[in-house]
Amino acid sequence: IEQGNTKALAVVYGPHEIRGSRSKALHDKAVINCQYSMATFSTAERKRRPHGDRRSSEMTLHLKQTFEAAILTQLYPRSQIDIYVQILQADGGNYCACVNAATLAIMDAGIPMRDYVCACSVGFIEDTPLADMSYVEEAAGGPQAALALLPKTEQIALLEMNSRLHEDHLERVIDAVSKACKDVYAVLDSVVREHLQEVSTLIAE
Amino acid sequence: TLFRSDALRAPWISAAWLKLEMASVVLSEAEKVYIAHGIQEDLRVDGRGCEDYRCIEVETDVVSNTSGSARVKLGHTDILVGVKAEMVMPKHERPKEGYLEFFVDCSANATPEFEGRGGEELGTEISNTLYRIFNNDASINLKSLCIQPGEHCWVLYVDILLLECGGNLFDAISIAAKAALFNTRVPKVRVIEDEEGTKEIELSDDPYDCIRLNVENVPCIVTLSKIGHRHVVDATLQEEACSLASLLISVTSKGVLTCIRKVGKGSLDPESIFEMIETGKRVGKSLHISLQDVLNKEESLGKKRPKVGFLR
Repeated sequence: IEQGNTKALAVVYGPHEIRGSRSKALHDKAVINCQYSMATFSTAERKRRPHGDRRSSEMTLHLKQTFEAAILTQLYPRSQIDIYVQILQADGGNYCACVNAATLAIMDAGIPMRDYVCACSVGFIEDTPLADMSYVEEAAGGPQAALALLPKTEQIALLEMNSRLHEDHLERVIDAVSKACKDVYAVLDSVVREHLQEVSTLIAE
Repeated sequence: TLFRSDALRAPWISAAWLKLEMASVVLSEAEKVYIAHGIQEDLRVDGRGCEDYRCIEVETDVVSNTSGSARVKLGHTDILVGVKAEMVMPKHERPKEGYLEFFVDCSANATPEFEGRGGEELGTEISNTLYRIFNNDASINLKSLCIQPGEHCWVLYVDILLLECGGNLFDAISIAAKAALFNTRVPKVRVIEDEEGTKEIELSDDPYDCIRLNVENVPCIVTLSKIGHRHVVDATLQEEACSLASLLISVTSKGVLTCIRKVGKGSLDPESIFEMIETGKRVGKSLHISLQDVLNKEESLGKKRPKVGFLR
């Protein structure tokens, strides 16, 4: 997925048998294993370690939480689904681009989900909510939130906010980011349908 | 931008089969015998001859945050290289030169075994090989990277990202590194000294004013895998599983060797090593000619080049 200058590549393996220790297997649902990794040349300042630092581990846990809410894990007990996301170019909204890319990858893998997961970031600068901020806008300081939404039912899979925001503004901010997520949903949906149409015409031949 | 070798396209059946396993492939005895017999007759599974490369696609300037970047697709092997230039103090023993640092990241995208720290071993092996092949005075003119002797110089961090493993990693990585170095634009800086003797570094106002590297003598690696009595260039994963020993040679466009390394658990006898070196030099020279051709063509398109982005 390319969202402006942010490029993310998501790869899904599975569902397959649990690798490594069998003890991690859950008897009633699938284990979701994620990894968030940034290429060392993706940021303006060269990043020394692609993954393993605190920020990447935190993002990994967030991705895991988001997709556990969306994937129908109870259909694959005692198995594992791997989701690996690589950021090739980082220009703000890294987590959101990852979620959008991973949604499409999971769909391509044929793993059933409750709904698309669409994510967008939002900031609040000068009394205005700003949807999908770039790196320059994020670095300006100010409150930022990231929201992962299941668009049809309007269920929130992940909401994360940092800095301080007065609760009076919260509703406007959430409304702005929900609308942005629905716009992302429209784009992803049209891409998936177009792809399916191409594939079905090829198969019909 | 792509340049084609004489290879036929791989049959659809084997392409689907390749998708199942990534970094390691399990072959039955019958399959190994089939591959080995074909190679004796100079006919490989996908129809290539023993000295043919698969179709290679090279595209430069794909990542915007870098000083130079390149992407290479060699069959199912996908490599992305980014070069970033930074200003640091030069090394003690070489105060008048800049230097290169290599880092190879085997991402989990290629195979789940590379998750966490699983890809580190392969990554260090590849980056050590790259250090060795560039460890001579002729490959890159490091003096052009010097700003102020003993105080400031440019270091080029060459970061290699392995996105997919389809056999023949070293060749693809060296081609990508050469293309990325060709594409690298290091900003021109001037050192101004004022009356009190304090030095200031001034960046030129024009963002397009930059130093380009001369990559004429940058070597490329050619891997020759020995299967039966013959050796093949550009082995796929299946062919690598059949071969017990390979020879990695790094050859420049003039046919000069900068590094030779034998890999694999089998052994090679001296005559085959000499034969393989001759083949490698021949193949390497034509690889360099084609690569330089493609890079020059891409460069000449300039702004009119169709930007397909990274995702095609």
